[in-house]
Amino acid sequence: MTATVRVEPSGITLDVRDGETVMAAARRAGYRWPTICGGLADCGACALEVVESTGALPTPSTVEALRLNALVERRRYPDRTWRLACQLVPAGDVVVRKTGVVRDA
Amino acid sequence: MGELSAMQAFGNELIPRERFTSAEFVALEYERLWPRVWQVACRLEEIPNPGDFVEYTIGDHSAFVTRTASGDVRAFHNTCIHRGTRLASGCGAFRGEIRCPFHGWRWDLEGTNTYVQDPHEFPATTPDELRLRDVQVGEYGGFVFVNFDADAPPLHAYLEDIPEWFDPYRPERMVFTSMKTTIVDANWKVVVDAFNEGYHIPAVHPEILKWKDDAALEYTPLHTHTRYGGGGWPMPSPRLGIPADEVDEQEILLAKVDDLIDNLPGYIGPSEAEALREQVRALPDGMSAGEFYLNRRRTGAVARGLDWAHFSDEQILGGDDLLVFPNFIGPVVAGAFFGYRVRPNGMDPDTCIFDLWTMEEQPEGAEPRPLPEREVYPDWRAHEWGLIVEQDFANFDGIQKGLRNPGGPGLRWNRRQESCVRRFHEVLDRYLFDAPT
Repeated sequence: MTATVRVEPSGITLDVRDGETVMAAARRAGYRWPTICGGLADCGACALEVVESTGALPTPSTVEALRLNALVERRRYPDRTWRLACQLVPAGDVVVRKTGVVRDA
Repeated sequence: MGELSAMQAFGNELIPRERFTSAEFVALEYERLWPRVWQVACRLEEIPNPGDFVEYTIGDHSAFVTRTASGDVRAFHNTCIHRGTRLASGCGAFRGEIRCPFHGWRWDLEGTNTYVQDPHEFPATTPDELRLRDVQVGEYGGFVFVNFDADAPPLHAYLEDIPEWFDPYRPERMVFTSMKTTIVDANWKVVVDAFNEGYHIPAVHPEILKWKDDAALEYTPLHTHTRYGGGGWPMPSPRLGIPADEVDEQEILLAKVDDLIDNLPGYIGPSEAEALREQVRALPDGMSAGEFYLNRRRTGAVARGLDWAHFSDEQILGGDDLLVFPNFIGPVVAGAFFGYRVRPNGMDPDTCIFDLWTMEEQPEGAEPRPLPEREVYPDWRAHEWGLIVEQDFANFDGIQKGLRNPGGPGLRWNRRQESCVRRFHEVLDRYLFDAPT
């Protein structure tokens, strides 16, 4: 079964396969998701805000949680839900906010 | 290791790791560099009154800088001319005269001997021989420099183009906002090299790319010193690939101001920081982050009695990163200076003594402020330095361990973004390997 991720503000919709991360799904669909470290949970550039989610999100792994702790956005808006696109494997449909997701040139 | 040799030209050849790890290289620096080069010893505000002193040490060399009765600044080798005892330790104030703790000999603050116990025991000694031995001293922008070489050219000649870059920020009007010292786990040149380029920003400080256009940094290796800067306009790094129409100007403005205040404390002076943080919360419609940041900083400066009319926008937005060769480096921006002084730690190639001095500009004629407490942390991990500095400290540890790892090739520096690193090492080699003239 697949989950759907809608990305605001662009409105891009991604189908995420079982076990696939949001970033991997975006790449497979031909989009470039912002990252510096290439998906190693090192840089935080891929962080997204979860706007809506059907069902619970999987708990962040230790590496994801460590990086999320250092996120500037998280400190500024502690009430919002932040996740790393390179780590998040959604279990159900989600709507996220992320700028800079663009068609790969 | 084999013979030490100069890395002439620094073209595409690889740089031997021993430069950063070998005890022979440390010894060569102590023989050829440190006794001959100008180095920052203290600030004038640390010695406001006659008799106040600050000791400056580099390896076995120690000098103390003091203010004489007439208000001049002088420096002396920190060793008694009788049996060699150290005369001053750390910082403090002489009570009118300098007195050796061993046999009680005394000197006035000009270094002239005023007392020898039982002088008839030294019948052949002239007053000149009894003088303390001078260390060359020079002042620039409120900084006191010393040079252990009596024949070294004067400081103003040595500084070359530094005043051209530094003068606009009026370093002479800056006062300390913090003075911290720690030991960092890397060779002193590893630290200078890391602060002499912005190429490490994406990997070490990725969070600032939201507002830092690191690709716009310009590198200006000078003849002896180095400068880089530019890229101050708040916008996302092109490395993030965010299309212009998706950039949220309010977000990047908040990210820049919050990062600088929280994660690099002292980069924006404490007199300005919290007011600025408050003011940038509401970006007016249609205004860019850069315009509003400039507007708020310029207006705030006027309110604090500072004249910033001469500053270019870039000097307010991003400033300059300056290296005063060999070991004084850091970013200066309108209103504040964030300076690092780095010295080798004895004969240990793997650690260095690291001072972080933050300063801010005071209005002309302002009352002198009390000096902040001098904080010393033998282990840098025992203190909160702010995220950005801690990221660098943690990185140093890994660099030095990696450099010691047998089996790695020589190092390589890129052409543009590491051009200031190249220049630093070229100048170092002038001291270490060129025949003294």
